[in-house]
Amino acid sequence: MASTLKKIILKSCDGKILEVEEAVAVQSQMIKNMIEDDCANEEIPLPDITGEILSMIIEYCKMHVDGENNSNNELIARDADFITRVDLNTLYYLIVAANFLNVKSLLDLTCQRVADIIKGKSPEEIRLTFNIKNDFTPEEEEEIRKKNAWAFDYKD
Amino acid sequence: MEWDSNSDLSGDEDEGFVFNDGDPLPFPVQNLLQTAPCGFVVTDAIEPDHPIVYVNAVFEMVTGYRAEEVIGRNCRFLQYRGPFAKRRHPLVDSSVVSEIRRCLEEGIEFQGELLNFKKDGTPLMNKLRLTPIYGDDAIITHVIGIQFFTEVNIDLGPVSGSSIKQSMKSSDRSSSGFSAFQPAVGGDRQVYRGFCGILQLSNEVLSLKILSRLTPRDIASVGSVCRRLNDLTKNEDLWRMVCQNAWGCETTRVLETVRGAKRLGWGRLARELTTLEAAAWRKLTVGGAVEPSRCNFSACAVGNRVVLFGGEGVNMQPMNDTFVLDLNSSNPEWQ
Repeated sequence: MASTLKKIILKSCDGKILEVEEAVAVQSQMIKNMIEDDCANEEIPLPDITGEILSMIIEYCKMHVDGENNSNNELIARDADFITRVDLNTLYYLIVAANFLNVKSLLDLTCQRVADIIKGKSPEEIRLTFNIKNDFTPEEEEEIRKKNAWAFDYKD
Repeated sequence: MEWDSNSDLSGDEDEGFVFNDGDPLPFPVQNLLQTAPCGFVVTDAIEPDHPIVYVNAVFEMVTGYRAEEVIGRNCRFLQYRGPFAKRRHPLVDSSVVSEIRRCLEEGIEFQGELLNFKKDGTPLMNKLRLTPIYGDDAIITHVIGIQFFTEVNIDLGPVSGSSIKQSMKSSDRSSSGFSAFQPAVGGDRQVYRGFCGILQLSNEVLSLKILSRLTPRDIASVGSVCRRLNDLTKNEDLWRMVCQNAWGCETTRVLETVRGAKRLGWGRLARELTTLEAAAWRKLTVGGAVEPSRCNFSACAVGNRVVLFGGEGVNMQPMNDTFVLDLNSSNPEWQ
């Protein structure tokens, strides 16, 4: 895999051009398909991904290509280190981009991170963390509170 | 050369992409396959309902549907708004659809414009060209579809099943080759500026991917946050996933075989089994004795007392033994 030194050129939506080794780029199933279909000879424009997010994704893919020979535990530790450095907003863009580029391991990692953030939180805590407005009417909220009471009453 | 649905397209290019008996195609496929940003779809015209046998990477990129999701299906899902829509969107021009059907039946080429939708529900105008490919015995074996997608500026409101369409696009998008495929973003879409969009991802599949990693209690909590999340947590498959997280694959498989469990729904099952879980089991060492031991006792909890009643003697004679264990006392004893 390391012998393929062909470069793939990616262009972010804010016009940043990034040259990536093919071995790194094919971590993205989408780019891999494009290469297989011979569509990747010129720069690949990525309309929804900013340069900042793209660099992070490339950093992640590089980490996984370079770390191929490392133990599984070491990779998990690096993943954890990578993902805990990311704030919620960036995490959102990372998820959208990982989904678009189809980088499965990164999508799993980012989704798991969000799930971990939600875990064990009350509805109010979730609203605060994610800045979500409570748009229920008082009646609706009461009904839902009753319906979901089973999940909460043991906590207090 | 026969069209082979498994053949590698890039490999065929050198041969001029020639089908049956060396007749070249009436359009420059070679160019299309390299860099032209158009979708390319091949369907099997012999199978009933013309299933897709190939889509190119541009198709995947523009529509958001991946090859493995669409191969084997008829193309009409592009006329449905998002993967959860059950029927063609009312804005899709049905006269164009019948025109397509007529051309396919008569075996002639079709060219026209048809409203399509990306997987996330964004509308796209599809300048479509369908070309039938004839086999040796004058039967249409495949149909090739070339799709030039362009943005279309219609406000359709939210995709069914979700009420907020979050957009992450900045207004200063570069004029890259693909930008033409993106919908125009109005300022009103940015109402969530400053909000974290994570739980308002327009892509329901992504949101469910996150939620399916949680536990039943967390889902109940998420469902109590706001309307959209409440709708999202009504998904049966999601509940099945979170039940699986909580109790393992085996339990969910067994539960599925239980008669009536399907009718109850996973949400209800989650609640009932979770509340049962909340009632903790504890091993107690108690004093006293149930003497003499007999078979066929029944046990019943009355408040904080456990009552043992019954017992069967010889010849199935009822013995009416009664023992009470008071769990309120510091050293419970059978009496």
